[in-house]
Amino acid sequence: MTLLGLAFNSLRFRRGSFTATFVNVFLGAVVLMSFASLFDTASGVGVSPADASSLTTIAGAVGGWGLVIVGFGVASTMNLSVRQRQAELALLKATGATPSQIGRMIIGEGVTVSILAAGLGIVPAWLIGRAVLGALTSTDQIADDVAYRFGPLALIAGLSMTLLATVGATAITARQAGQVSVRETLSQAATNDRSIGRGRIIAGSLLLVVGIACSLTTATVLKDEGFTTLSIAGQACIASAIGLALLSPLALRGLIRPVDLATRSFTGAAGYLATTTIREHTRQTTTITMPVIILTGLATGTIYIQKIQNAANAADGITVSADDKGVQTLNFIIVGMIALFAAAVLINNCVASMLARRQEFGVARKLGATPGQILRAVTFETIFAAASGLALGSISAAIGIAGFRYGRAGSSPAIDAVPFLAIIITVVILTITASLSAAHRSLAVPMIQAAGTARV
Amino acid sequence: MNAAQTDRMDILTSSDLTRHATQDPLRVVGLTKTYGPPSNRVTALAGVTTSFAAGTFTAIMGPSGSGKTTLLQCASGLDRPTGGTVHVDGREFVQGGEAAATRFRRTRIGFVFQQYNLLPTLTALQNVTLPMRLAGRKVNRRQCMDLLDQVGLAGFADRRPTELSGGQQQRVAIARALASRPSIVFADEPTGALDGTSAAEVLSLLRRAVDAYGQTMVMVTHDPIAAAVADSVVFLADGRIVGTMRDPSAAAVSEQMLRLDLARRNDGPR
Repeated sequence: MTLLGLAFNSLRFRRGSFTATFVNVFLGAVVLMSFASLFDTASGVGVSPADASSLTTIAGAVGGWGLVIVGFGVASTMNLSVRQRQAELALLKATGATPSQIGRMIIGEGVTVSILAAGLGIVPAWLIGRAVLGALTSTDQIADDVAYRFGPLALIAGLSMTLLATVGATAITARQAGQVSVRETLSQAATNDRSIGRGRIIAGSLLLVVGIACSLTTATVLKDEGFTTLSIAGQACIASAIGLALLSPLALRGLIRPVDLATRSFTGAAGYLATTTIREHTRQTTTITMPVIILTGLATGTIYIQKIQNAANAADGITVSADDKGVQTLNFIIVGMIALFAAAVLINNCVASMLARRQEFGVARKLGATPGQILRAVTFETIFAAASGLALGSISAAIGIAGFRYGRAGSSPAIDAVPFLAIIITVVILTITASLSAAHRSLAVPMIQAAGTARV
Repeated sequence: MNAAQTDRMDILTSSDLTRHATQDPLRVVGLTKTYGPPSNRVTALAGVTTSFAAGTFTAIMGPSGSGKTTLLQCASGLDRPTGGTVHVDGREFVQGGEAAATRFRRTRIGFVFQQYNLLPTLTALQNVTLPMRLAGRKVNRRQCMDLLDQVGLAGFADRRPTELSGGQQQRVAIARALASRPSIVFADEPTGALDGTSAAEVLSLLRRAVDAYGQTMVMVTHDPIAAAVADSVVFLADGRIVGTMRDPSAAAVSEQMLRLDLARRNDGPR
């Protein structure tokens, strides 16, 4: 009980870093619950079997990947916030807390935040779910008399999945925290950011293979299967994006060397600080890269697959039915929501990681780094993280698009670069604004205070 | 002559400007620092004027809350004094923005902190060269390796701070402070986080920097044994210099500290 008290206490005092987790869980729960409520609606009285089947298909399509992405997003932010507290956890260990007590405390905090966030997500999820059903009925995919229901399935899906993601992420991080010795953690920032787990590499490679396999099926077996081909192509993008996100630390390590060599001559001390940080704290950098990959892969993939579909339909002389229109709208709603979630995770991670680096910046300032040098180093890091994410995200989108484009044989529409450029610009503006404004705030603290004990 | 009179005599000598102090590596004149709103003003420094001659090792001591760390922070440009001036090598410290202050101090002033303040992402050698890189100066790798050698860390150039003991980290920090050949090195409780053996090593390295290179050194400490390594001790109480002691011994320093504590207790809480 005392530790739970401690957990509540730290929740109150570390509002900044918990806000990040809170926002992620909230948005994630909204996405999951709004679509899970379609299951509730499908099981309502008087819903025809055909309508019920359409609703469950749609809810299932979102549910699966939405779940993975929400879990992924919540986990990455949670992981970030726990790792930044190593020193505090070490103090607890030094004063006699056992690893399992610390684990219970961290999980207790995570669960408290998640329940609050998911609970607050109920009302917006109800509204969005109703709007989605409205969109479906107005495009005549579902009978007009189907009544919207927000019931136990939505609640269970929203609450249990966000809780599962939180507990999973915190448990892994707590275990990592438990492995570091008290001495190491009490001396400055001992987080071992260099190691990349083997499990992570295996999972990432598997998902990438799944993505490529999906793409190959759309080009071969599932050629011209209409909506199915379209959705499998979308899944090819999502699976490759998550796979590449998991593998991104390896990519960043590989890229930083040539980038360092190419830019060394003109980036000076700021570039030196940035490249050493990326090399030594790769996982911190990937908290920005990963949501960029998901966001880019998903948004680019969906938009271009839909464009190819539309162009192919036009070329084949197929008039676009209301049904197709409805599918398209729904497709954009789904992807839009997930992309929005990824964008929120991205902003959160940028802000949370920069605010938590106040102490590190303080030390660099004491040693003679001007605020300008630190801001330039942060800009370098952010641009590098975002650019790598954009490149990897584009690759994952290309995997899905290539298969689909080949599958819709004969159609090779001219690729219109405008949406892609818009995505790139959005990502760059989001990351730079979030990172730099947070870094600015970290630098506003007088350096002799900033270099002291970090409190976010 | 009682103790209070001796102290007053010492104040006069310590701020004696006839000694051509203008060319000293560090001179502070009328330094004040206050915190908080006018209704609840806390005075950390109440006008400190003193000078540190080239090639000398000075310890600054005083009861906690006496303003010794504030003096170091204001004199070194880490913090902005409320009033008064700081002169490094006869040049007045520009109290402009942080960037200007940083540019002024980073080539002239070296630091050794209680918490080492090594960047965890850099190796020992990279930490030593960092201030020069930040200042945009050419890094003399050979010289930095020599410095690591002199602080007894010849084989540790590629180790990261987490792979070094506290004493070793502090020795890296000393090499870093000396690397840019600053006019003055400030050490803030450099032995505060170390055990006896490591502390003795660190103190003898600081002493050697003064003796061998003529480095000017100012060290804030609360440890009479550490203070005894210095050439002279400046005592601070309530933000003022209340005495100095030349060729200090640990015993004499302890005695003086006790006296200051006692005087403070008799005055009652401020």
